[in-house]
Amino acid sequence: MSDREFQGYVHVRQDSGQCMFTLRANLASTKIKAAVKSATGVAFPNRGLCEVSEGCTLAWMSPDELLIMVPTAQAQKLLTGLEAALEGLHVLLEDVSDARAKFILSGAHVREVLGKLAPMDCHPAQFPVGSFNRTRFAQVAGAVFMEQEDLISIICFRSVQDYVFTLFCDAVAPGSEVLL
Amino acid sequence: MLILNCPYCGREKDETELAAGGEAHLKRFGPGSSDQDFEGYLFDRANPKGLHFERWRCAAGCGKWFHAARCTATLEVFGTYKAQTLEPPKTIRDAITAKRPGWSWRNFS
Ligand SMILES: [Zn+2]
Repeated sequence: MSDREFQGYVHVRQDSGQCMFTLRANLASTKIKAAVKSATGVAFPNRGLCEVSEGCTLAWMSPDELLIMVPTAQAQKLLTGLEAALEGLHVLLEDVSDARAKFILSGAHVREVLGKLAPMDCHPAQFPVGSFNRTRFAQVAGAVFMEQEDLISIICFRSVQDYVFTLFCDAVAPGSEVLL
Repeated sequence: MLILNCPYCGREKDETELAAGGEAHLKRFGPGSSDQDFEGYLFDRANPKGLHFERWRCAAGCGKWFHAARCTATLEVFGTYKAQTLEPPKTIRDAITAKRPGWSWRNFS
């Protein structure tokens, strides 16, 4: 699928080059943490955070759910490695790439655009770079990763990707700046 | 707007991200229980004007069920706590006592 984009006062782009795996497991378990770390090479994220290393992202979704994002080219190797590392542990690992969509917002006013659509505190003190939060965008569930001060990743279900893309295009429409 | 702190993901969640689950600390009466106990389990709910203990789900969030102690009249929140308990923890009770001395709710006080 083509990566659609829209240039408003913040740039919106779909990123279809990512695979996503869901890991359901007790994230407080040291065995689980060690297995994930050895297979991905990424530090294990604390509550409410993301960790990134060499293109692979680990996101803390809940006390028993971890989201693993990786470029498609690296996906199969990573999945095989994860399955081997988690062998024998009480986990569920599933490829959810086809169930999800990812968008990237970039520009100086990404926090404002996020604040228009999600009922969350977008102030840097409450949501610093590296933070990850599950929330809703207008009427649908989604997740947001504060990658850099001017770069945000948005994750949603693929079934609502058109709604979410349209929503963000609308929120970045030239002339709709709040700039408080 | 009601804002509750989810004790699992630690985020401040507003009412639109939460799903209300009704009264907390219900004891289940199932097969073999008396008709009166079963009826009470199904239908008997406190509906206080004031202090209440409720279940909420972090629906647009981590997805977990948790408990909240709040005032239904003022929306003041005394605290939230995890659902793996049969009664409000001492920290929650103390927080309520500080604001509402002499409080009672069902069998708790
Ligand atoms: Zn939560």
